Amino acid sequence: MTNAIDVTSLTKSFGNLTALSEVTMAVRKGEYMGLLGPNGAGKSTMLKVITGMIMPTSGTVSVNGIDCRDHRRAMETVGCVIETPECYPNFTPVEVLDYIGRIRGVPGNQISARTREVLEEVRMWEWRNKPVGKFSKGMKQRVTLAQALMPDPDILIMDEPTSGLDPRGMMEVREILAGLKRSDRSLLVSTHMLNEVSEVCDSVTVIRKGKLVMSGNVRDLLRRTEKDVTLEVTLRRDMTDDFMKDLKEFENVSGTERINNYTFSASFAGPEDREGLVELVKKHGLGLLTLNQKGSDLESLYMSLTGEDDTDDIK
Amino acid sequence: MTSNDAAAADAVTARGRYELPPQAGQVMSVYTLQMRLYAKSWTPYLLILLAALIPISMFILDILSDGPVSDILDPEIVFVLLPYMIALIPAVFAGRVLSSEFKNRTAYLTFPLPVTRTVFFIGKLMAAMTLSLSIMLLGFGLGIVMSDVYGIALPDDTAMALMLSLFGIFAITAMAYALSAVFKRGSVAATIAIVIVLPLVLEFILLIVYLVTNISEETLDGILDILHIMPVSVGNVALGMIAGNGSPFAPAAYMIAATAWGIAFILLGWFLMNRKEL
Repeated sequence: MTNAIDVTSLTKSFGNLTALSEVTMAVRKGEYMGLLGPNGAGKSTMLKVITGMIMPTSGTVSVNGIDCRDHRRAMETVGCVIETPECYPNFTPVEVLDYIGRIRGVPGNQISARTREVLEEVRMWEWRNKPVGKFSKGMKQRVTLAQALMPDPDILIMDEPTSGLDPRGMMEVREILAGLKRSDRSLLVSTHMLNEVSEVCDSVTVIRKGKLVMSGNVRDLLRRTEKDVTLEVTLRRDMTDDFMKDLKEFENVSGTERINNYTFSASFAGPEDREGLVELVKKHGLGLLTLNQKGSDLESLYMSLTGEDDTDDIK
Repeated sequence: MTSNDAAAADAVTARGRYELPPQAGQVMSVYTLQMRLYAKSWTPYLLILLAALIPISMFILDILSDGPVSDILDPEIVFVLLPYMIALIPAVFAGRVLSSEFKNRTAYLTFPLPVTRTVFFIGKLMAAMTLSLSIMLLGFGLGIVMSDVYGIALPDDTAMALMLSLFGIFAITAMAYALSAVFKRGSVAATIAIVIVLPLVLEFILLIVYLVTNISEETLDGILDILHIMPVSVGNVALGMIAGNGSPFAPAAYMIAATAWGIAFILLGWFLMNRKEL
């Protein structure tokens, strides 16, 4: 069976800078894949090559088995949102979708109905006759999502669809994406947020500095990030030696560090028991002020995958 | 059938919902989009005002003057804005069509669609040409009507002057459009600079060459004549014909030069846009 997207030995250079180096990956039909990596990893470059906005230096890319150099046919069943495009600010969502519908072959007598369907799907129907230029970033993002859905595509390609949105906007876009799932539709979404991948995708490909780091099931990946979690805890009262002794013997704790009289960190070599830790603090009567995971999931992931601290890259 | 053809057929029949329209249909969609964009901006209305400026001025003059307007005006004055219209109209309509797509990031909406860049290029070019030629025709038509109303006699060459103007508009529109594929901003200024400033600069250079070298006056005139056949001079030539001065070269020579100039710039713009990486 043909894959939805096949990328083989893809290399893209801009002068001396190699943005992608020999990347090979595939998105199967019906699969929702997250393309995960820090800023500058090459995610957007990869999506731009797939969607024909830039040409590869070497390697091949095919969509539904069609070589992407035949852009028109390769993109026929694809809906894209690449680098937060701007819709024409004087146009209303209805006008934007009319243009997209006509150019993509939605019959004239079905355009209105299809427009309503997709605008309702992205919760923008009530704003259908307002100019896009007056919309917030989140609303604009939903209009661009609507244009990607207009031809009822088999494949969706999204480049950081929640970038620049507030938490509510992020949640809404993720909900919309998750709601689009169906057996014959594939999604390739780039992001630097692990939780986005875990909420929306079945599989993940991690790239870093233009190279493929790993590709696999999201659950496997999450299991990997669960290892070596470090929690930083601040207490209301001074720590006691008894508490530190109990902490070292706590389940899965691989190491502890006393940062000051009130703050300590504990590293876990397996799944961390946060509730148990809170109970331990309570038992010693120390009072819990804060409990944070040190670094984001993504930082932990990169450390786990590459064995080095990429915090600077991630920031 | 190639493997790509077979895969494309499989992909569409498997889904079976919408089929891409022919490329000509997609060109029309892009054309309609650009015409709608024009309709929502202020520039066409401003340029219609420019085209109507002379007739409006004549009307005001008629009200203010004591005697008949035809005693004060001659055809050259009625069409005096012609060279500027040939420069300004294409610059405004075509000079920012593509650059605004890149600057405002709206190209990111269209380029990943199943549309070739050639389709996009042709659709937008057709819209720019339609509006440029229409407003030139409107301005010219109004000039003719007003001349008739006020009894100002136009020479027989007027029709040929109109033809020359349309060819000039085609050439300058093509140039402005090609420049808009290169510059993110400033293509309007670049077009106006080329159409208005370039001939002056070239003539100034030639004058210096004439003064510091031993070239004969005939040679200088010959070079100036060749420069004047460029489309940037078409407006002045057309105006001269309306004034009854005829044209230095056969009108066909100007038309051929304008056509070649226009096609060369269209090919240049097409080439540059196809190579553009976003």
